[in-house]
Amino acid sequence: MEYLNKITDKAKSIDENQYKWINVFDFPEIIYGFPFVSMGNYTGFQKYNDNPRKEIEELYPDLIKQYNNFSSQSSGGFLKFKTASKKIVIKCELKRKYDYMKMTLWNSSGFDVYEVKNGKYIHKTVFAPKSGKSIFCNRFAHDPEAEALIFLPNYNEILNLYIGSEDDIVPVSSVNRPAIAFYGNSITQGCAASRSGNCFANIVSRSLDNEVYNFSMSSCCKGLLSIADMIGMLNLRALIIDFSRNAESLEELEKNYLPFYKRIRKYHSNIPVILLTTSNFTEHRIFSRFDNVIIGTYNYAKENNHNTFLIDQMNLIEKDCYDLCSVDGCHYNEMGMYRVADEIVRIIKEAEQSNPLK
Amino acid sequence: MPVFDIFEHPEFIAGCISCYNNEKVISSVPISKVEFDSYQIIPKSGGCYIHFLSNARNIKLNYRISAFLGGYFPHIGITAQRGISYSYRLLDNGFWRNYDCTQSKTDDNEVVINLNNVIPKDAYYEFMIFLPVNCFITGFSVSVSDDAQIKPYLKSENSKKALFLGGVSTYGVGINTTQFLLSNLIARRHADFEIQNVSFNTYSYWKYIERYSKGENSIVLTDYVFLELSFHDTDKQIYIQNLKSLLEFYIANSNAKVILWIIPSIDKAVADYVNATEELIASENISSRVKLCKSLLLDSERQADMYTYSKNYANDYGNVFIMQEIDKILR
Repeated sequence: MEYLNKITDKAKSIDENQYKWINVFDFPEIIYGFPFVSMGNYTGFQKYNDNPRKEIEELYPDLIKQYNNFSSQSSGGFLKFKTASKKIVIKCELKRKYDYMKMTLWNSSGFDVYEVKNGKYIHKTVFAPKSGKSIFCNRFAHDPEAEALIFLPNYNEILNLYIGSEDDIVPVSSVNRPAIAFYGNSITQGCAASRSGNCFANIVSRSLDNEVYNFSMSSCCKGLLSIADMIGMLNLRALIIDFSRNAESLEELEKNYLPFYKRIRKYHSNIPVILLTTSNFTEHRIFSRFDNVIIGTYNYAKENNHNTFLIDQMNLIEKDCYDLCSVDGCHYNEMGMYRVADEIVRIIKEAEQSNPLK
Repeated sequence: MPVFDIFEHPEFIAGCISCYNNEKVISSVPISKVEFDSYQIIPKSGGCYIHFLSNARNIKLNYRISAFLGGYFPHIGITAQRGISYSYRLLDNGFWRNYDCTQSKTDDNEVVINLNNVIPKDAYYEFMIFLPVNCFITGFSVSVSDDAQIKPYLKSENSKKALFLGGVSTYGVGINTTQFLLSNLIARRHADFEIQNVSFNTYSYWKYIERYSKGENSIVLTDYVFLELSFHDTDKQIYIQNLKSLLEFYIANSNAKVILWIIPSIDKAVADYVNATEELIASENISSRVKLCKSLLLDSERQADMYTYSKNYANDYGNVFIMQEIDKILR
């Protein structure tokens, strides 16, 4: 990896003239996970329209700084393309230079590279700049017979991104399948996975070979109705909701959770919606009360014959393994991430078998 | 408010107090035993932990780090590099819970741990505070309220001595927080083990662990040796020679059972080395003393994805998997 002072600097370790370069922002056909980019509404890796910011400013002004930070991070996004080139170069400028607590740089700022061949995902490499650096150039080997799939950083914002290759970069013609959306907190955004591809949203993406929209935001996940309206605009295969831990109080969660769910159902009456109870592996008493709100919403959904499911996260891990699945009682390492992802995949498949979408 | 300066109460420490740069530090091995090479490589505070019993509802920690090894560690969480992490277990058959961790943004740090929502009133618990891998701890005090009790966790007379020897994985490359260092995972599952983590931050660790072992008289007392097998760019013959030399030493000079483990791998080349290891154990007729965790060879890409970053590094779950396979042998 070579570090640069400016994104416009020429790399010294490789001859840039040997490569064809694309500005990824000019090539939305290879960008996945950013619905408004592909609609042509926004440039850069924008996940949200303008309304959630306005709602946060009005209702939770103390969180506007966190919102501005986390809402522009690229969690859930990936690049997918084909090229006959045997080498790929990534030239990138990230916003944040430093580590986040409880995470490796290979997660927070990591580009996690897979090759996809005959539907099979093979992990190839992962890279991230070192602490204190944010502009870099990195070259890695590529199998021309495979599609390249690069998961983007879970906890960083990409300011500039160029791809260099010895041959043309070509978008992949995928099966036209609606995306799976996630709305959650820091855990769902990906905190404490070892690398960016291993947050549970991205594991679901690989397992089902499906684009995901990860609208999760560390600390700001409040069940905003503007986000429900935004999710309502999208064509979705399923929606996963996991946001209880960001509630300041039981009263706040009671005020927000069911109305958020009902607003989603106004737009998406039939897709599978999966509600997750709180990830609470220190058995903190307050979160048990939060879960009553989530279970109450689930019961409301069942009484109204909704296509809604509940995952009790505490049931996914054996009691004598609570210290093995998370770094602090809630943020999952791969043990937790894979258990949650596998359960989500199981539910989506079962739901579609018994209730195929028209 | 009782304040325990841990440096005045080494009975609280799993590790030792030694001297680095004219400062007292908590280290996993006496510095004088490993001064033969660079700071980059030698073991530091990683593998050490503070271990006590208490009924305190709030615990205040004041600690200082020094000699932070910066550099390119995208595969070690900053929390593991320079922070502390802590776990608790209720007495009366409680299970371990990871409570939280810190980043240590500055050299001097204060942490107040509020356990009111997780510990029942008047309940006693066991507490472990795991120390960082890429720096030393040069100051550490624990404070509790006047009406609370705190005492060191004292190992029983029958406690087993467990020596971890290895390279980058044993050192901590791959972990988010120090709760997931392999020796700390074993410490939680075998709280009565007296654990020492002698690991070197280099792929070429054989010469260092051999040098340490042969210079260290207390090796003969160890009950278990957990030996990391890493084949990074190593010729198979050289690997077998290194392994044979070390195994011969421990068999001749101790009664220890040696447990050999690898980073979980799907790689056929790794399987080749593992098979060669198995052949060595059989040909030397040492299977009663040397056990190999062959179950760490993986069947699928999915498993490799779950447990590793690459063939060189295990992640937190990979270390959990290694611990679980080692535990099957121990039990």
